[in-house]
Amino acid sequence: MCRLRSLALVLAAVATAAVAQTPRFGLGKPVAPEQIKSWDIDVRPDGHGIRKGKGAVDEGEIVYEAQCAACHGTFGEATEFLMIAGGVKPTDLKTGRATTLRQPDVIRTLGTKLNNATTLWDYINRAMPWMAPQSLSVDQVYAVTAYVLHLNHIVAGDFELNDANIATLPLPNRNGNTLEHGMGDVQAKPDVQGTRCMQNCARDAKITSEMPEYARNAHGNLREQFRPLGPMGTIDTSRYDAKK
Amino acid sequence: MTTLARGRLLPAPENHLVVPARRSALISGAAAIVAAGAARADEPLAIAPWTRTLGAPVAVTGYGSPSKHEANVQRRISPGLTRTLQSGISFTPLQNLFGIITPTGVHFERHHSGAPDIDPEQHRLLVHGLVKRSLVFTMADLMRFPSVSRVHFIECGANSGMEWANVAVPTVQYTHGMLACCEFTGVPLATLLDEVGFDRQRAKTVLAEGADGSALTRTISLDAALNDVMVVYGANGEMLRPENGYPLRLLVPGVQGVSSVKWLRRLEVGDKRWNTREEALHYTDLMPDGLHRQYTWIQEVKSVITSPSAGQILLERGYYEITGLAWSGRGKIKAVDLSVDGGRNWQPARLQEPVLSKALTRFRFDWRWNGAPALLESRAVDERGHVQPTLAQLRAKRGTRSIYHNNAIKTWHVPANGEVANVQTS
Repeated sequence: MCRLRSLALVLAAVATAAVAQTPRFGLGKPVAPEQIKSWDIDVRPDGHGIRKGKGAVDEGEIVYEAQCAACHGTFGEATEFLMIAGGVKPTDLKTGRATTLRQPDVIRTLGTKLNNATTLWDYINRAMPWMAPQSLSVDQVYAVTAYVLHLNHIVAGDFELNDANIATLPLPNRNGNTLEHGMGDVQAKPDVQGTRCMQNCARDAKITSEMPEYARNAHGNLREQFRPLGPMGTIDTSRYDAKK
Repeated sequence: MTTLARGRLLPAPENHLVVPARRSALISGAAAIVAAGAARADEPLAIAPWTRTLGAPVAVTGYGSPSKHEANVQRRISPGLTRTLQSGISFTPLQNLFGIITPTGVHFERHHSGAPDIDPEQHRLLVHGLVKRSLVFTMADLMRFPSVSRVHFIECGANSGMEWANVAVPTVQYTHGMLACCEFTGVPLATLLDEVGFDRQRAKTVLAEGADGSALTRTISLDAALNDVMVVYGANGEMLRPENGYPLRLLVPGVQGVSSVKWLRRLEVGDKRWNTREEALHYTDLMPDGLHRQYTWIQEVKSVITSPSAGQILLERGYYEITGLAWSGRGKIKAVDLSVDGGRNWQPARLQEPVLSKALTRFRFDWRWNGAPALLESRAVDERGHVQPTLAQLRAKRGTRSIYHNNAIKTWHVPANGEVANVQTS
């Protein structure tokens, strides 16, 4: 009896699994692989999605000058966005760790943070140039990627990037990331935990940082950022305005 | 009005409330109302002009706006953080909001290539990858699926990121305003994954991609995808606003906002993480040893007092309600403790129902200000027992350069003159 019942349960479970694998609602339209090529553009470090093509550093320089330099600077030095170039030391390529990230005057650039060339290729291909995304050809994307790597002293001036070498190209910060933290899984423990002390807790409670006077109106007059109505008034910070 | 006798009336020019000529002073806020009442205690209450006239007809505007007197309640940008307006951030005015639901019009914004203007008739969602059948859904298709509505917060991973090393911004709008909470409506992602017949043996991840100019991509884990992730078209009873993802966005509850990909056009089931630009160059947390923590995505237990908060003035001594918000990406809020002496002594605050998982929870605390300097702090505890840390506890482990995931206890200083300021303490 007991065995029959468990057999029935197993059969029911199999049936449920089978049902789950057939469309339950029949909504949506099936699409063939050919139809989704234009959208299926993602490239992964393991080689998934890599497009056949190639581009050399000097070809990339031409594209970069025309399409990228206005925002990112001729040498990738502009700071409106994450800096394109700078901070990579020759030894970093050997160790796979960007030295500057350990130092007090950390230099955060694409070159010091990037761990895979595929990530750069993927982003240029999907989102650049900023004003006209997805307008570059596959070979142009390879070329600009090569040039940006060259700006970071990762590849030489005569280098050609292509679908065969992009996934294995060693980058200066390839060993610079860690997954050892508790912040990717709800069940895991976060690394920093507060203490629920209720009385006579160990705190100096001395003020260590406050807004300097010159910065108190830098976000505009706070008086205009609170509802005039309510239990409290609002500070008129225009008195701190440096221009006055 | 004995409180008035004890209190301090500031001759501040704020708020423009003119009291009758015989008191001939410009005063502010509650004190002004009390004073006005006191001044007229022996006179009949005045009949207001709007009581003696016909008001506006219905449907003057088919879609209403807040009162013109609410014009100060705005999303705002921080000059240091918004170098370009298309790849920028605007902050929710938390100091002006009540309850737990963020009015949609002031929900914070974070775009990477501007907000696209999407025609919902033309919008499509492609679901493919390790699936039995790749399917393309129209909005009409998606809205035919069984729907769910749930209240969840969305917090940017960089919220409070300017304050790792020192105080940097003047009010709670900027310290904590990359935060919102809405009632979202949509389809559980699990329903869509079942519909395409995802590969139960091999599938481990899902890539989500936006239809904006940045075609923003983030990997989410299959566990999350099957648990509580939603494909969302509604927020607070209406369709999403363009700046918040119209007509379709992903919602990954409890996880940093960037994973809740806006203008969602594609979901690809995979077996590995993608290491996208937003997973390798941004949204990684720099540790003192030079390593970046990658895929740190849970928003840890956190709280902040929204009133009184920096920028406000306590005009007199006496009763104040201290109120604020608490939340955790790991579940429900279990308790919020309140300190008025910089964290040396704490008392439990009251939690306002409903207390929902991965949603904002409103807390309140009764306080009588005696006019002495005070340091106000709140500390949240979630249902898993995680306790909101101090900034010192965070810095001891993570240094001051990690940018993301600052869930430190926030301190507001109330000096003797009542002008509340943003401070950090030892």
